[in-house]
Amino acid sequence: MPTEVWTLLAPFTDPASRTHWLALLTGALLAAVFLFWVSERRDLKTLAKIPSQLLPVRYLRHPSVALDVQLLMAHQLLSVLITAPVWAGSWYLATHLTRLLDGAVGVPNLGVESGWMLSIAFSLTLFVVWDASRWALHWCVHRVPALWALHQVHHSAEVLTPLSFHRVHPLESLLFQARAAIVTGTLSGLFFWAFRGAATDITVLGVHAIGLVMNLTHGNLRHSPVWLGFPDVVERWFISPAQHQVHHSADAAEQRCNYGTWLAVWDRMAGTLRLSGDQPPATLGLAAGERNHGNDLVSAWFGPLLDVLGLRRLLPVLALVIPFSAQAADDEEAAELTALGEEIIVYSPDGTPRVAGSAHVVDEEQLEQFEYDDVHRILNKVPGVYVRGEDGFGLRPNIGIRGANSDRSAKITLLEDGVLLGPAPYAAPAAYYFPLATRLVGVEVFKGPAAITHGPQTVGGAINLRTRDVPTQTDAAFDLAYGMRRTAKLHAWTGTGNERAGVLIEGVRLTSGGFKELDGGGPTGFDRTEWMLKGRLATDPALKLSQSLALKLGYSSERSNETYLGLSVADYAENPYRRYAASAEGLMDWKRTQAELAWSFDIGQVRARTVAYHHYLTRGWRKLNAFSDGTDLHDLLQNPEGGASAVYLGILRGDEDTATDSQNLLIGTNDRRFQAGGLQTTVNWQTRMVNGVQSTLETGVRIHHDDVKRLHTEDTYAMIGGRLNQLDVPTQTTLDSDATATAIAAHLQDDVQVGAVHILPGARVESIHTERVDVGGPLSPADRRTILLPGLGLLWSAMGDVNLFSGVYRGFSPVPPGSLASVTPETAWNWEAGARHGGSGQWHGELVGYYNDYQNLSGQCTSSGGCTQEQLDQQFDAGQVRIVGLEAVAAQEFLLPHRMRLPIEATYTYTSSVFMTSFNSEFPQFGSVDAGDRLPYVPSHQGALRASLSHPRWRVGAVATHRSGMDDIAGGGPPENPAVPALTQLDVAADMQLTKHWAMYTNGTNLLANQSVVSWRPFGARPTAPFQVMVGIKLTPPE
Amino acid sequence: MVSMAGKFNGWRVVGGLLLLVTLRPMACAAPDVGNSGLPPEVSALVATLLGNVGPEVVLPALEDYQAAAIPLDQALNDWASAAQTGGDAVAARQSAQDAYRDAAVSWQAVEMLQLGPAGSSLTVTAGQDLRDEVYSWPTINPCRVDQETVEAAWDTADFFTENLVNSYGLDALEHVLFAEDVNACPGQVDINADGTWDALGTDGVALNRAEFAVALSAGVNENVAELVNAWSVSGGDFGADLAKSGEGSSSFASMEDGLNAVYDALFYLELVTKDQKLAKPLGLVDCTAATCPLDVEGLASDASVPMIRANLEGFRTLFTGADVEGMDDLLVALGHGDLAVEIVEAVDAAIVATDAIDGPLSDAVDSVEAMDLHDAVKVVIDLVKGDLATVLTLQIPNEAAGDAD
Repeated sequence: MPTEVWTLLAPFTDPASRTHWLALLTGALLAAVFLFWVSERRDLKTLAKIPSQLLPVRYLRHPSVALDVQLLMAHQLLSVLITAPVWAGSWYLATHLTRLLDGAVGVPNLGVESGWMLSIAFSLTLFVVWDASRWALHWCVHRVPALWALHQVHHSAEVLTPLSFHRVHPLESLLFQARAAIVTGTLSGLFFWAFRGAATDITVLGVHAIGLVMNLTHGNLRHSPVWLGFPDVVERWFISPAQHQVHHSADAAEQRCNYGTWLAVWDRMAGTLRLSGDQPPATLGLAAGERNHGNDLVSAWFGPLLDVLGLRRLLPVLALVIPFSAQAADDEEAAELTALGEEIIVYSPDGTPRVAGSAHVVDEEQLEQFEYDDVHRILNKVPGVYVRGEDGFGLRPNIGIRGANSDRSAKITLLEDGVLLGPAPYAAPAAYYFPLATRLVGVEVFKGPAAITHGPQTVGGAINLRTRDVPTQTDAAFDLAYGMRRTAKLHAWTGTGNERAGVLIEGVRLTSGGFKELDGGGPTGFDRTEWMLKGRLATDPALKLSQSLALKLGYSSERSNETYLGLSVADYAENPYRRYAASAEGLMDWKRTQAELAWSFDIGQVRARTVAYHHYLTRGWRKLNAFSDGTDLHDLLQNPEGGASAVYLGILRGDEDTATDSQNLLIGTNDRRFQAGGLQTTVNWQTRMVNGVQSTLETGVRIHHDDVKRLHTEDTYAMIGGRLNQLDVPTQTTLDSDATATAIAAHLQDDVQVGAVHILPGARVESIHTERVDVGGPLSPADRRTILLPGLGLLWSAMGDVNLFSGVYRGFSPVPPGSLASVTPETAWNWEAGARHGGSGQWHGELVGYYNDYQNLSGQCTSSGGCTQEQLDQQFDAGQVRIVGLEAVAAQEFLLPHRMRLPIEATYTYTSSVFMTSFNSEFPQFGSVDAGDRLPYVPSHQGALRASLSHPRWRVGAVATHRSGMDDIAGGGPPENPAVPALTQLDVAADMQLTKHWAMYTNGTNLLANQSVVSWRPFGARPTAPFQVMVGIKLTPPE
Repeated sequence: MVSMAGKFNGWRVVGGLLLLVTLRPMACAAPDVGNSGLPPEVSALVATLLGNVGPEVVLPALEDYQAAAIPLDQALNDWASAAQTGGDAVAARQSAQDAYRDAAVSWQAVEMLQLGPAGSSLTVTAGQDLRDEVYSWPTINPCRVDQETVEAAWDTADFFTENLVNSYGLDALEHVLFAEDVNACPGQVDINADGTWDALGTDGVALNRAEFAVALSAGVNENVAELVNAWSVSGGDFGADLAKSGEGSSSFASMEDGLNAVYDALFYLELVTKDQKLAKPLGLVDCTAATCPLDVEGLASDASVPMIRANLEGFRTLFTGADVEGMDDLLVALGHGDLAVEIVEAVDAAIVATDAIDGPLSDAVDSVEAMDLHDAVKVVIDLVKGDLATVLTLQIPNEAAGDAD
């Protein structure tokens, strides 16, 4: 459509316009609700009258409205014919002001980065100063006679419609444009000068958000027949539509009050504020004899000019050549306003959804049957959960839930037996430790509102890993397995106990020769060891007050020859399991200790559990970080064919020797020491049923402290003859920092059951204090934040075993230590609604739809995500993101002859994610984002089909999983940028009971040997783990 | 109420205005400059500016190089002939070295223009790494060049496709033209370990180097021709693609993207000229000693200072659009003509600063003149990063209309 047409339609299509179609619509809807609410009879008859109250039919023929339309049309047509001069723009003023200040004062180094606090400050400043300047100019146009002559055109409106907003003399319009240019230009220049583009205002539809909200809500009611006042106390702060209609009164005294647009404070300060009262003005417009123009366009244009220029006395002469209209205001057509003066009540709550939403459990039977050692393979069957492979073993899982970034599982809450398991979940949420999947007895996934009782990461959800309980008799189990690529597992546990006391010891050793082939030879496998000791003491359970003490001690260690370095496209195609010579030094080495002491008591309907915990993890990961000149390894491996890039790839491969300093390889050891400890209490209390209402209350408090000390160093290597050679260059310390976090978290959730309905209100509070000290770096301020995360849910057992549920809650992800106060945490309002059928019998079905509305989605920088040392732990904002998803589960167990069972389960997840704004980000997975792009590493479709045929003596099962393609960076990047392709895998497992206690088993993963890139992070293509078979023998405990 | 004689229906005025608008030639939708904050009226000038980059800036610079390459080729052929026939190879080599300096300095104007096909495929929109094919400094491996000198396989059809850019191009040519008789490889590398270098003897090495130089220059010419083709109207016509930014360009979705490509290219002066060619040898960054004279560009040919001068001249050409519309004109049109003058003056001052350095930069890394040059280049860059960035990036909030606005 030509530009001219858009210009003509701009009053209704430009979101910045008061009369944008959406603002007209929302204003009309709100007015309709208001009119219906305040009417004496709320029935269909009243409803039918509302349209005529919003826009009386006689208005369509009213000469005042005709002039509104003429002025609007003429203004738009003139704006097509006469292009406004460039220099009147605020941009011109802003750029010159910035340059002037730069030259006179210099560039201030405030060290403030972009963030929500700064955006809010900028937006509020704009809103307040805009409003004040409008008030001041409005005051002037009433008090300065020449200006009043122009402003009369607006005040001569005898009936008010939203189009009266545009009823402005062209010269007055210029005045207000100049005001906007001066105010906006000055503020923009000042903020740009001070913050160098970090200060951006909050916008919706590209328009300043606060102003837009005002326009969308009541802006168009200011010029309308609807008499809508605010309560007095509100009208002292905000100008109501009724107050503005008072300002349009024909009474001169009333015209000289309420000059404000949105805020009433300016009128209060000037003593010109008048509350709306109960009745609208008797007459709108101008007093008889005062009006300098008629209800005609030409009259409205030139009449005021005569007054301005003092030419009115020449009117008779001018009348000979200028045919003015002589129309007068028609008193009979004076506006009849609806006399409504009650307080606005737009709506009232009429229902509440539930907090407790979808949850998923992978039980011990499934875990036992498939004997997975990679937790990714357990979780990729759970709807709403996405995993991103890296090393092929799941040593450092990347798990995301419902769109939350999967990088190092940092955006989800990870628990082991209800206790935070991450090395430092607040100060450094990246989960470098994960328990070995083989010793888990259950995996619980809480998504959406169900996650509110777990924190601090609540945007996506929580995963709780359950370890083995202390047995109540003497038990033992043993599992020895061996498989391809020298993969071996030894897993054993034994324990003894009764109802009062018990002890359990469990150990696992898992080793593998690895499936990758290092150029020039070398190890690529790993060695994991885990020990767990549990003890339990309890009082007699028959006592009224029963108590127990439980101790858990753990030790884990890992040495794995892992690297960040992947492959180029061509090398991946040739041999996906290749590893470049430059990765030869890769070695992850960590050790972790764990101690937990839990005290529980049970009295009547009250249960409480208090846990004191402490975890300690120390790690060093030696690996290739970068070239000396900073060449981006991730980008290089995606496009290494041409020019100097091919030389750099040759050096990584060992085909080329390092020839210049810039081609040296920096191999770093990222030493980190994590510590986490705390005390948490959870109390559950079920009340007695009173009048059919029963309440089950859960409340919890956690005091937590964690810290991470980082000492990152780099040594310089040269590639010579296909081998890495360390150069005689001093070791460089690239990061020496200490970050701590102390958090107090509390949650309260009630399950109020009224008949078949459960109402579940809940809330979580997180109060987090963080500090970060960088040796030799800039001083980071301590940061303290408190956030309230409310939620509400509804569950209705509709028809016996059919449950309908829905809920809403506020999701949250804290900011990293060292963040400036202006950095805002990730927050989202998350909604879900679903239905569940069955559950306890042989059939189970579930369908859940969810909608996550991120106010600010953020990415937190990790080395594994491709960030530089300087970016580590920084938060990068992505603004508004919306995620819509659908999760489905259908499971049926068929009972067959000969005591055989055939359980079949299908799960499916659909996810649609959309960035709402366009921006450029240094966060590697965002990059250059266009509004409408989807989130990286979130597949649109994901599904799994699991079937198992079991007999008391044997079992055969298979799981097929499919995941659609994923983007590596937001929007998929340029076409030549390869995304992560779709992947289908098939796993099978079979076991046979040899004797009462001994069983043999075998399992095969990726039986189809499908191979595709599972990730481009940290650097280059990562392969799918190859076809792998294990054979083992188990000693199972007695039933 | 006012009483006026006569009557004129306002609807007729509206109708008249509508007629005027209808009869007025319809303008095509002017592309928006996006977030740059540039007024739409300036869009036409931006389109012209972008359209000038190919025909007025890049192609002339490439043609200048091609002109400088003709005497270089001749001199190299003379050198090879002299080496083959036992003529005065020393004098011929000297002539070739002089011709090389002229050509290498000429190339430095093109170095500044790494937008589009010349740029890195990793970091530049539509980059095809063609610059690296011609000149890949500092990605040069003298040992690899010496290995190729011994192997003498430059006449094979796939020599330039099988080898990497660190063994050919203008920088490799500099090595074979200026290197001493010894090679740059450590003892364990084949040519030393198996004695093939020594077996060639001094004359053999000189002969091979002369013949290799001819082949290297021919390879450079081919790659320069490819770059010319990528920009020329009869070839890839990348200039037209840039000119169509935001209007059907295959590389630049918006006019802002096209303008950013030109703006980004200006930063060669900071990232390479200032940081790598000056700050590093002067010991200001990435240098473990007081100064690092061996890190200067054109070390062997002693062309470092004129190379920097050529960078500055290339910057000036790109910024001013040669004699037609450039970014300076855009600044004038935007009301910031003073900034355009300031930037041009700063560039000229930096060019003058190069003239103050007597001799090669490697001999002057601790001199006041070298530091002055560094500071003069920094003044240019500070203007580009500061005032120019302000003008091109400052965004204006969109005020939701309030009363009377």
